[in-house]
Amino acid sequence: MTVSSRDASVPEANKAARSSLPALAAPAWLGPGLRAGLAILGFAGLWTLVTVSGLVNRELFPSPAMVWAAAVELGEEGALGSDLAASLGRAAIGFALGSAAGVMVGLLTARTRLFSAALTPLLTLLRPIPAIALVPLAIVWFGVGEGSKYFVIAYTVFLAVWLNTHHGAAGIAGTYIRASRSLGAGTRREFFEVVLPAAAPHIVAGLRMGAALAFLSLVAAELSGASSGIGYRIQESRQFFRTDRLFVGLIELGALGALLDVLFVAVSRRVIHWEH
Amino acid sequence: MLHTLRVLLLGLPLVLAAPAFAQKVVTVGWGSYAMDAPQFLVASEKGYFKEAGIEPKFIPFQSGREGFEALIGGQLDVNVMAEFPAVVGTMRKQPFSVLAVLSRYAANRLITTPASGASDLAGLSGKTIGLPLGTNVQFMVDEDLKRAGVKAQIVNLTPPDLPPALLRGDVDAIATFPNAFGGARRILGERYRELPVSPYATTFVVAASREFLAKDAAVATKLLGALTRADAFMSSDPAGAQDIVAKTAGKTLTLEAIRAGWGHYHYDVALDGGLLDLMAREGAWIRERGIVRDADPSAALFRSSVADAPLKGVAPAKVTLP
Repeated sequence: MTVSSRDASVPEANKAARSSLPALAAPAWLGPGLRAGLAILGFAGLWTLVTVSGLVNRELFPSPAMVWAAAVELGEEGALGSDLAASLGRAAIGFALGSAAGVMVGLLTARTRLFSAALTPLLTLLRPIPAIALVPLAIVWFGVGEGSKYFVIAYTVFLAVWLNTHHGAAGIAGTYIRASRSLGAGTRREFFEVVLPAAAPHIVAGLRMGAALAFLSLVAAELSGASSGIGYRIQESRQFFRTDRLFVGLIELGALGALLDVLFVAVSRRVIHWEH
Repeated sequence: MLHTLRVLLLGLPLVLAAPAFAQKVVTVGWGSYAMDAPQFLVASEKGYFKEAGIEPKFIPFQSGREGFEALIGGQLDVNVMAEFPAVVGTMRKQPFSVLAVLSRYAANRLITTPASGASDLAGLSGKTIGLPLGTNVQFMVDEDLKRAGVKAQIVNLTPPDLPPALLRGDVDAIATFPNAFGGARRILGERYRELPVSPYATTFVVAASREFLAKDAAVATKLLGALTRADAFMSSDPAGAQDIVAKTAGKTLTLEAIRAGWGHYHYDVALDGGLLDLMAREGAWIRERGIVRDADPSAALFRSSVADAPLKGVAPAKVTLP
């Protein structure tokens, strides 16, 4: 007994809307990968044009070729790989901690009045506090080691996942609950076969957002108290006016985030197949 | 009556605008430099800027480095900072010029606690030192460790994070900027210990954007004229200058702290070969680290980023550059 809280006709409506897009749409024979590649190439071409136009200071706005050379330089130094490993490790642990806590607390605040009354106002107050504002506090509490970085990332992820989970689990149609109960489902069965599947799309959306936020807060976490990582390298590059190396860090973050998003969509299609 | 009213109405905007024409606004990037560059405070307070026809507009930044970014981005006319950003800026071919050295601070130190067990640099072997990355402080510590043959792990920390990290024992020693020593001493209390370091002197400079120099070279000369007058006042009446700094710096800096720290600075608005030598040493260190490779960090390169004409215009004897 699994249910979906969404209208099944929505994907069809989206498809119809997409097919009615004006003539500027890409030719059908271009696959999504090729389209993305062409878009990136087009952007790089425009970027190159701006840098060779003489309108900008190339030391502050480097060309794609300069950024590529800086990436090669970082690769030769061994910094590219070690930074990536350090940052991915931090992001993964922070994400795991924050998302696990977010899902658990979200389900509790959505389905239990006591938890909702006790935690929702506090979490609502915490939500507007940006991760970067917590860095000094995290360092004082957890020191300059990995603990403070996990805390900052987990905090950001937790709030996004909590909010989505809470909304998903709190907004389940009463008819589903009543139907499951009238069919004799116990609390445990109701939770695993009605509440969780109905909230799953929201939980996955929260996890997807949390994954993106993990990279966002990673930079804040690595600005102080780090000796490696993408955020650290961005900071170092800034100090030495190596904007080309700074761009490498930014592109790394963007590429990682995009890759993770694609992975999330692919996995979510399998896990919450009833939504697709 | 109508005529009088018309004259008044037409004349009023001119009267209101008159001071704006008389005073040339100069945007100054300013960090917590009350002790490092008191000439600006003294010149403002004593009216030297006003007499020179200048109205400085201080734009606060967290550090001279951030102000420098604004300067090369065209947002400031001049910026007060330590010499290190100027070294990096020159090696990265940025459009700016150093106008003058304002002061030199020769009481740099490493700060530690008894828990580290270190009583000298050798005692920091294999230990962790927290410092702000990519600054003159890192250069100073690296040079000292190299000279002492000591290897230690360096951790990047912002100045406000340094004392708590040392207090917690996350790092064994910290190195920071002169304006943060007082805060570190306060936070560490009885555990505050100093380790002797090399005679490296942080050199505070005033730099100008190339655009400002091209358009307002005369204003730059007047600015330096006001600063040299302030310098002279500070030499003749240090107590009076300290009072001005205490008055203008607010609660962040007490008169006692100013008096205690004053002697660690050598205030002199000048341009000398020592600045170029230091910049060349720092440039060589940066290149050795491999972060900036495509520049020859010679004194000649750094000479190209120093504009001596404005200072020569008011105090030629203060310019002793090779």
